[in-house]
Amino acid sequence: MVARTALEITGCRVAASQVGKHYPGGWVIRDLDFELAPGELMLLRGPNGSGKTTLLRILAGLISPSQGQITLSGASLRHALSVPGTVGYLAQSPGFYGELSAQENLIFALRAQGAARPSAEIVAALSRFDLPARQLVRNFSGGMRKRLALAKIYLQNPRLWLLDEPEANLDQAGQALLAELIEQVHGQVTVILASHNPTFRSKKVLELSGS
Amino acid sequence: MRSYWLWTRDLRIEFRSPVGTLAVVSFLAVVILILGLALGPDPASLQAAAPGALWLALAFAGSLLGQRVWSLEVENQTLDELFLSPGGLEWIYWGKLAFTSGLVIAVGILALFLLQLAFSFSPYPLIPHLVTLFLGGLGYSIVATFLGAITARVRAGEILLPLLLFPLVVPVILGSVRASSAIATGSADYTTWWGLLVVFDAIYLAGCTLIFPWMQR
Repeated sequence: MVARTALEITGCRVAASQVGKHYPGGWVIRDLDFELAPGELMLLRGPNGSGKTTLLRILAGLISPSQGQITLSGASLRHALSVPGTVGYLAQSPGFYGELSAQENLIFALRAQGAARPSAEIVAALSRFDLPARQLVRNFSGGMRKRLALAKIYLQNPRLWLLDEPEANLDQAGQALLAELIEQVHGQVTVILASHNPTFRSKKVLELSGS
Repeated sequence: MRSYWLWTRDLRIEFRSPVGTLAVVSFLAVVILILGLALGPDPASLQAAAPGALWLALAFAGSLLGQRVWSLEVENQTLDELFLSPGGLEWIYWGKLAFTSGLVIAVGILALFLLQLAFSFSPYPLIPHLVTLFLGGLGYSIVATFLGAITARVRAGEILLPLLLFPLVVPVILGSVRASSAIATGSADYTTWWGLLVVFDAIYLAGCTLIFPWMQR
C-alpha cells in the first residue's frame, strides 16, 4: 500500500446556509442548511434530479449557488478553493484524455491541481487500484475509468472529498476498494458522498427531495 | 508552469491523434488551390492576390484550430477537471493559446510554400514573412482561443465561432495582409504594419486574459 499523508490531515469544516440553486425550470435545491465537522462523512440521498450532483458541483466551485453561503473552515468557498488540496471531486462520469495513458493522465491532473506526485507513487497507486499504468485510457472500460478517478482523488489527497455516485460502473472488487478507501480516510478528511447504494452508512444523512 | 504542462500535453495528444491538424492542413491546401484556380492563370495578378489568399486561408483554417483546442476537452469530458484547478484560470487560457498559435504559425509556414506552387509567390525574404506570420498568427489565435472557449459548450458553437471571430480579427488580418504585401513588393512599409500588429496583439492578449477567468467562473 502507498504511504499516504492523508492520515495526518484533518478535513475541513463545511457550513452551508440557505443554499439554493435556481435554473430556468425552477429551483433544484433551496434553503439548504447543514454543517459538517472536520473528518465527518455525510451521505446525500434522494431520487434522480433531486439536486445531489448540483450540490456537489456547487461545493466543488464548478457552479455558483443562486442563494446562500458556504464556508470551508470559516473561509468563503471561493477563497478556500483557491488553496491547492482543499477539494477533490469525483464526477459521475469522470473525464480523462483517451490518447494519454493512465499514468500520463494522473501526472497532468495532479499537476493541474497543484498536487504533483513522484512517478513511483503514481504507479504504486495505479497498481493498488488494479490499473495498467501505460495503457491508453481510450481502451478503458467505464469501471476502469472510475477506478482511475478514485486513484486520482486518493493521490490528490484533498481535505474535502466530494464523491458523486462513486460505486457506479464498479465491479465487486472495485466496490470493495472504494469501501476500503472510504474506511481509510473516514475520520481524517471530510467526505460528502452522493449514492443510491444502501450499504454506505453514516450518522449524517442529507435527504434531498427535489421539491 | 501549468500553462507549459497543458501545452505539452495538448501537443502530445495531437501528435498521437493528429485528426484536427490533418483536417486543418487539408482544408488550407484546398482553399489555396481553389483560390489559385479562381484567380489565375495570370502570374502577376496571382502574385498580387497571394497575401490576401494566404491570410484568408489561414483565417478559415485557424477557426477550425480555435474549435479543436477546446473540443479536445469537450470530447474527453475534461473541461470540469481543468476548471477545478485551484487559483486563477489564466494558465488554462495561456496553455491553450500556446497550442493554437503554435499550430496556426506552423500551418502558415506551410501555406507560404503552398503559395509558391499555386500563386508563384516567393516566400523570400523568409525572415520578414516569418515575423509577419508570428505577429498575425498570434493575434488571430489570441481571439480564436478565447472565443473557442465560449463556443465549445454551446449548441451550434462551430457555427457561432467564425461569426464572432471574423469581425473581431479584421484589424489583425488587414495588418497582416498589408505587411505580407509590402514584403512581397519590396516596400519598407511592413514595419509600420508590424507595429500595428504588436499593438493589437497586446490589447487582445490583455483583454482576453482579464476576461477569460471571469467568464469561465
